[in-house]
Amino acid sequence: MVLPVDAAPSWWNQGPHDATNRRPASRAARQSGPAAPDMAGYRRSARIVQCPRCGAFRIDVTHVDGAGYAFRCRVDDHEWTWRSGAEWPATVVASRRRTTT
Amino acid sequence: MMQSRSTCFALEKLGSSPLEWEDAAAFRDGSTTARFVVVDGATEAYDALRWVEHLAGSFVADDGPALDRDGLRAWFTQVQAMWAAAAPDVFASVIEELKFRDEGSFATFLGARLVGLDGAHPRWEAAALGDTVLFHVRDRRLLAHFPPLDVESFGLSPDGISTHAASVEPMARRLEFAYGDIRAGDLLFMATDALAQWLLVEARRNQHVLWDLLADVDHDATFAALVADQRAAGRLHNDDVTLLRVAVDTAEPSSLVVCL
Amino acid sequence: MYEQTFSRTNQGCIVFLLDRSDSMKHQWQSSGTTMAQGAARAVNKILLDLCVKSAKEVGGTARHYFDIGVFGYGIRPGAGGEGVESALGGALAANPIVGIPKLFTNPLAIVAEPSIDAVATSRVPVWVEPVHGYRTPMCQAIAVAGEHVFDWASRHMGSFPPIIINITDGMVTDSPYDGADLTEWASRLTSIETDDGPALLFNIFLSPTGAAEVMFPTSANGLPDPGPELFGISSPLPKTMVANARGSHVRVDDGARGFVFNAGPGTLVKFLEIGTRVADLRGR
Repeated sequence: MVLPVDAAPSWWNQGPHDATNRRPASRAARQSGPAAPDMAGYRRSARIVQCPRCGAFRIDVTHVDGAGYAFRCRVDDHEWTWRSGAEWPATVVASRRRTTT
Repeated sequence: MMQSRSTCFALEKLGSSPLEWEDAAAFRDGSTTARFVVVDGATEAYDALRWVEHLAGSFVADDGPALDRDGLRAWFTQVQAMWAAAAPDVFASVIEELKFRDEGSFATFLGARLVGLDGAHPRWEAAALGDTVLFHVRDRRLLAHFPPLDVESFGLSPDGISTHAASVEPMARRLEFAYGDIRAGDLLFMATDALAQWLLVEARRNQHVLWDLLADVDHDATFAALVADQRAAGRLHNDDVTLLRVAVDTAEPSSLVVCL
Repeated sequence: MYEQTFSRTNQGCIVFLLDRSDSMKHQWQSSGTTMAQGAARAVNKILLDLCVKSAKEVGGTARHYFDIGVFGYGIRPGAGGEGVESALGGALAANPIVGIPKLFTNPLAIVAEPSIDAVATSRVPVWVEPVHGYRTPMCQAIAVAGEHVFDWASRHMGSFPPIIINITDGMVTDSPYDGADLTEWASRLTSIETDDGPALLFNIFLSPTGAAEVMFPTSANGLPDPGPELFGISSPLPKTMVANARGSHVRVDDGARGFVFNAGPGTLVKFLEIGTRVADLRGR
């Protein structure tokens, strides 16, 4: 391929680039998903439910009579149960285990 | 009897997708076995996502390694075998084959466990290769951090877990170990390099506010906003970030929090 | 300045200006190859390194971390005669600057090359062929490449600025070109900037003789012609590259410029590795 030499514009005379509108988007524009919750009233003795298989926080939970709680991860569809007094299942947080965001 | 209650927050580098977050972490909370690990895949490593998943998952598995030099040396060999066994039969290109063979994968390693939770002298023990850092916090004050890096030392450490078999002995030799006594109410934070560096700086500025804030984060969106703000302010290097928080308590959790 | 890393959001631009003049046919020190062969091999090695850096997933193509240009000046195998043209052949020839994914999938050939231990051979891709002929239109090379670098920078203001690496064995033959001498053309090139700083111009001087190498000097003292002129148009090494060089056990004094004189094969590759790497050196 032959690159145009004679037809090239005088790029060296065009002055600095106009950086307007080329800067990275503001943080507000980058943020998505749910807004940060009000932390008032939160107690540190709570366990935050996190999928043991992938680490995601988007979880559906139901109470099962006599069996504690049943969980289903909305990201990788992993299902597990837990009842008070039992150990929380070993949890791995890894993006490779997430099938969707 | 004491027990741990862990939560892991993470956020990918700005400009990457969530599925490209190349750290990994794992925890196993319990009164008899409490183990924690955070690994940070190298940016230029091959298939870092698979390597960090292997490392995190196998560290907290039922047959996870003993946290001493011999135990970890054997574990390095074991995870390398897992890596090699999962190699593709045919590579998509010569370049991919070169990458797999010559460079392989690589990740920093910070593993910890709690021992003696049912005794008079419970403590944390940790082993590290690289610049992922554990912070031990009590009463809103930093008691210790491990490895004991200073703010300027991040990004310079060559240490981590490699997929090359020839690296097993050097890795075992370069492992660092530490431990500390724990009490109910203590917090351990394990953070990958960019966040760890920021934590060290912020802890000097106003550590009470910092540790209170991090103790209270109860939503991944809160964590993401915090990280985004600090990046935008130029205080936090744009890198994948991971924070594994381990709360040590004598009580069972009183409630479950499900993030909306 | 010079703080951005290479990512798909903020790609890097690395442009090689490759002297393909007649004098590149001479033997390169005691390497057993001509300077044209040695320079092409080094450029191919760095292009492979950039592809390997960008290869991340099993079965995936390269991530678009870099845009690459290789401009040959001297003989033009494509158009014929003397001038400047893309030295990337085949499917890449139509684009003066190509993304790594396209480079990744379009080498000219895969060739066998002895490995470092000379026992086994590796199959490695080749993108640039060694050719030589005619004179040394270096100013024209900057003029042509500069247009594309300028255009790239205007579309990547958030990126690390373009890195231009000139590999030559001698005297420029077209200065002044279009009313400007080599120094003026270089100044125009390094006035191109992104939000992260001005473009970087590094120069590599190859010599058939095995004279002492001078890498990353802080002054032109003692350099024979055209050393002082090439030193003068070379950019100071940014801090990140100084740190990378020191991390690779290369001595670099404060104020060093991206310039190497009488580079041999090993030094050439080392120089290119340092000059094309901006991310933190993590050794992993």
